[in-house]
Amino acid sequence: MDKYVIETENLSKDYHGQPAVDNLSLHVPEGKIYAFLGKNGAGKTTTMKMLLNLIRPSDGKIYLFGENNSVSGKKNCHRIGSVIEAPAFYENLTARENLEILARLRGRHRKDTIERALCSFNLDKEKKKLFREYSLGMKQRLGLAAAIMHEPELLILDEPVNGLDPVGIHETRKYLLQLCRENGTTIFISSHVLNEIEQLADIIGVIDKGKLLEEVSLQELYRRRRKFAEFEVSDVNKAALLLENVFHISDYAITGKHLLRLYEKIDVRADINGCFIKEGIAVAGVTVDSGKLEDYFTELVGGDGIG
Amino acid sequence: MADIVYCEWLKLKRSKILLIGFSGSFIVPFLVTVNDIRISFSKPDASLSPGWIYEDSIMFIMLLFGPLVMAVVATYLISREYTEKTLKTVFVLSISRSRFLAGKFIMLFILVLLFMVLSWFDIVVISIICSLFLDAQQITLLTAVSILIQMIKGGILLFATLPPFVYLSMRAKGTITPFIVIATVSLLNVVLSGSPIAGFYPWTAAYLLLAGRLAQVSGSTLPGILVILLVYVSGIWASVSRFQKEDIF
Repeated sequence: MDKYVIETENLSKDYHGQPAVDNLSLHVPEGKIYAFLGKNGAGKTTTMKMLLNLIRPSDGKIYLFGENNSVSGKKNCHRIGSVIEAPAFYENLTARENLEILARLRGRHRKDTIERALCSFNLDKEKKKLFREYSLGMKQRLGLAAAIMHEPELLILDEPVNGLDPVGIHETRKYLLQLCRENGTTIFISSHVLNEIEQLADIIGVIDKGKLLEEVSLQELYRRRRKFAEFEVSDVNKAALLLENVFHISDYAITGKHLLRLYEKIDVRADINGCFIKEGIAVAGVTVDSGKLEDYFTELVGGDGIG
Repeated sequence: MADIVYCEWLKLKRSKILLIGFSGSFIVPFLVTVNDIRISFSKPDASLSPGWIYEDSIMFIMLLFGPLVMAVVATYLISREYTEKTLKTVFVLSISRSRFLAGKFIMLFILVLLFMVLSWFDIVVISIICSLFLDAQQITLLTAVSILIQMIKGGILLFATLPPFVYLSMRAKGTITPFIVIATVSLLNVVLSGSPIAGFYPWTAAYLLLAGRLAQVSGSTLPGILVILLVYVSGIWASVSRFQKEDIF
């Protein structure tokens, strides 16, 4: 049985009677990367802020490291690192000074903690630059440095790659994967960059209008969502016979009165199409579903995209 | 707690608010002395003395400069956490909200005392200069010490009247509303300073109590002390309650 680092029970938050998060029951297993996906305003940030004690839930329970958060209070805070929305630091201070404040307020840290965190995100060279002079990417990197500087067991990251260039995104992904695989850090992450999430996550949770629509492992998702070509034909039975006899295809499914899904030999769909026409089957259309996370997400929350 | 206060001090690094406060601490006694010199020249019987410089300086500090500048400093300490959105960075740490706020109040108290001590130093230096180059009484060590004690008392009284501005900054989450209120409070301070109800207006009562004129103005010192205490306790209580239950966006 999985040990959950984050577990919520019917977690809810209302603003003036409007539910922002509605009966959310999350399960984030230890040592895994959990991607929390949803459109803008779906309730991702509100959920993360509730996990971090920044917002008080209207109802429901939060368990962090197996302990009820309303009882344990700030006890587990030193085990958590976070970046929520755009990283916020004191603008008149340098990166080092900002991290020094966080280290002192945490109360316990190794002597080289700050330098190591700055080095990890290539911020050690800009010693005199003030936070207000930082680019968006540098601010994001400082946010990540602050989140990992105390070697937390759980990272809660809200859009951590926003503002990073492609190299920065790649490096961050590599770093997070390394943290998770080598140190066993549990990562709860939200991002709009779905192809990045696809390369990172073990588990996907999809939230829409405050409700959790699905919580599924990426492996299960891929098993469920295999790549296929769908033919819309006039006679599915005749088409199925042709697939078996001419193309020796057995991995297909009839999904509707005129719909036939093909899971193997998708590359030869043009030949199949030609064969159908030759045998007098009218083909109204052929579509290919790549089985990608983006397609899954769009299908689940609606076609108007993530934002 | 020492770490929290150190962090508050570090946050003020390179900030102009300290410069404004320090400049004010020096300028008020200087301007007051210029005016006193002018009076002493026009009235030959009026002799310039350290006591005279102190009394006029403390009046301006307690009635105008103190409430104005220190309330602006109090607003800055709080509102910057909202405008720079740093509360979401700090409140995810293991530090409690009440300890964090306590750090803010301690820092504010230190700054008020620092500004008072700087003003005292300025008064002493100006008194020495005046005694060297003008026909003014020399400042003695005893006078200097007694002025310092009075100014520290003034700092404590001034600090006691600042918590409402802290609360207001939390509610407003910015600087515009607190600044308007601060300007109004300071203006009323000047307007009411000579009136019979001055002893019931906390910011004026603080000055009158320090100057030993509270009983003379309002009949008794008790109502004035109670008003100052009420402002202090209610301001702290409201600020702590607000901070404890506030959602951080």
